[in-house]
Amino acid sequence: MSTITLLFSIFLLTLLMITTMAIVRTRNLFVAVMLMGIASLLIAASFFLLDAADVALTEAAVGAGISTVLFLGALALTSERERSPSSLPLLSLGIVAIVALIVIYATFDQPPLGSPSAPVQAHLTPWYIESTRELIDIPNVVTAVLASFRGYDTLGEVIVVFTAGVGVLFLLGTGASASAAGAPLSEDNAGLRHYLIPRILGRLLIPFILLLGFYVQFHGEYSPGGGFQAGAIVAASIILYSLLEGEQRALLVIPQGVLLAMMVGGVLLYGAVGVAGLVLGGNFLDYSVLDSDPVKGQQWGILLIEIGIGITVAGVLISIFHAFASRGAA
Amino acid sequence: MYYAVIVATLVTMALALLRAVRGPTVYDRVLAVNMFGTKTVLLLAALAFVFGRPDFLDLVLVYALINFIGVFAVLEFFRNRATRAGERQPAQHE
Amino acid sequence: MDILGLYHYWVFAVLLMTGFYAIVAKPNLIKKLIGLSLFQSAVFLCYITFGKLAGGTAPIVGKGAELFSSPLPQVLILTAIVVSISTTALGLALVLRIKEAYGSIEEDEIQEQDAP
Repeated sequence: MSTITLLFSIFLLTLLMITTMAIVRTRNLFVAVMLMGIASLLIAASFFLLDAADVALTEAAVGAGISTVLFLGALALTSERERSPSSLPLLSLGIVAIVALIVIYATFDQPPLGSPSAPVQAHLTPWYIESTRELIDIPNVVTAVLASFRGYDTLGEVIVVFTAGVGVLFLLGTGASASAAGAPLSEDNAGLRHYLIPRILGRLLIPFILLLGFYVQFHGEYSPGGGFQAGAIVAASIILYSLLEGEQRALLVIPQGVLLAMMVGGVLLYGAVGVAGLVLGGNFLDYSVLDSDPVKGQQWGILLIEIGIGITVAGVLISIFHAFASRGAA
Repeated sequence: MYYAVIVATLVTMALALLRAVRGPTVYDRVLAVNMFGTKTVLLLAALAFVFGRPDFLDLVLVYALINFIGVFAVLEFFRNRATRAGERQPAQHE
Repeated sequence: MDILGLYHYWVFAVLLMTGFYAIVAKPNLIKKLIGLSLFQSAVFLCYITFGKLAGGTAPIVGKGAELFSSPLPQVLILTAIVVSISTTALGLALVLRIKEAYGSIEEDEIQEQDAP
């Protein structure tokens, strides 16, 4: 890393430390959530400086956008002020300080930042980069590793996202009972419709955000992107529509049944591609048998499972948002 | 020249952070977060050129749009809170 | 210059312990969840710092790029970020239900109601 970019990185990380200390110290939870948005943007910028473009995109889409919306939704239904603890927890402070010093002491054994002889650069990394060029032939190595070389991990992770969605739906319900299908649209849940500027700007931007989501989905093999980021961006655009027009209208546009089908359908698509590998004579999640040319087969496999991931993540995030938003209306 | 842009943007980000941490009213903080998002977009765009990979401008677009959605969530939070406070008031009068 | 490079790891240590302190010492449940989220972000920062290669660029094969930073930590952290938002969402749903059942989200008030 050249010295100047290293200095930029150090400055950003210092701002990050200040922000996190302010987050922990403030008594007002709304302020904490706002500062978390700033911290997420700082972390995403640091990731970009450390050459992790895909991870920066995911952190931006998920951390600054979706996470802020979820925390604000929870804050709206609970209290905003935190009660101060009765006494200063000296024991906790002491232990935390000691452990921090131990970790800092341990960091002196680290290889210098960016050193080519670090263990992580030695064994698997050159193999992945070479094999992606040979076996899969797509430019984005991170997508190739995520979707093909470590496809089994990613299947587990999509199931984790699905489980979180199911868990939230079990805990909070779908909200379908509060706003019955035949009831007239009440004015209370009208969102920001009565405010002219948000409404116009939102209507202008929602199609473009959706378009960007689809672009990130399908271009994930050539540039930073992929299923997770695309799912988060598409969910963010539908959440924006719901914030603007009120939650009942948003449930008319994409009904709860469609959201459930999306949640389940994406995971099933991923599993189906894996089983197709079995049926066509290879192993589970072996994409090279999907087509007569193994390289083309790998690209088909990656495309299909990324679509599955995108559908599930979008469905889960939108369902979770609706579960939070309709809880207050009940 | 890119370095001058980056230094200026970092200074602005520090000032926005100061306002977000100190700002007495809520609107100070909301504006500070919005401004921080915009400056992050600028910073990453300049960095993409410094690294010699202008094709990363796609991901910078995402930041701009996500920043927008965050501000709208805050606005809706306040509108919701004001509505519920207004509903509770008549009940207290009775 | 080596000491400057270690700054990333020191920030990781401070961030880790700040998040951990919020989990342990703050009685408010949402503050605990915020602390958990900070803790996870610190771990992400650490892993991505491991993967950086001097003179490398993002691992997307393009024109003229020769050396690449390691894609492996980035893959791990990509999945970890999505898992972290899922667990945060589930945690927030639990907090909402606790608020409805106990009327408060402060840990000591909840434990008082539970104790006989």
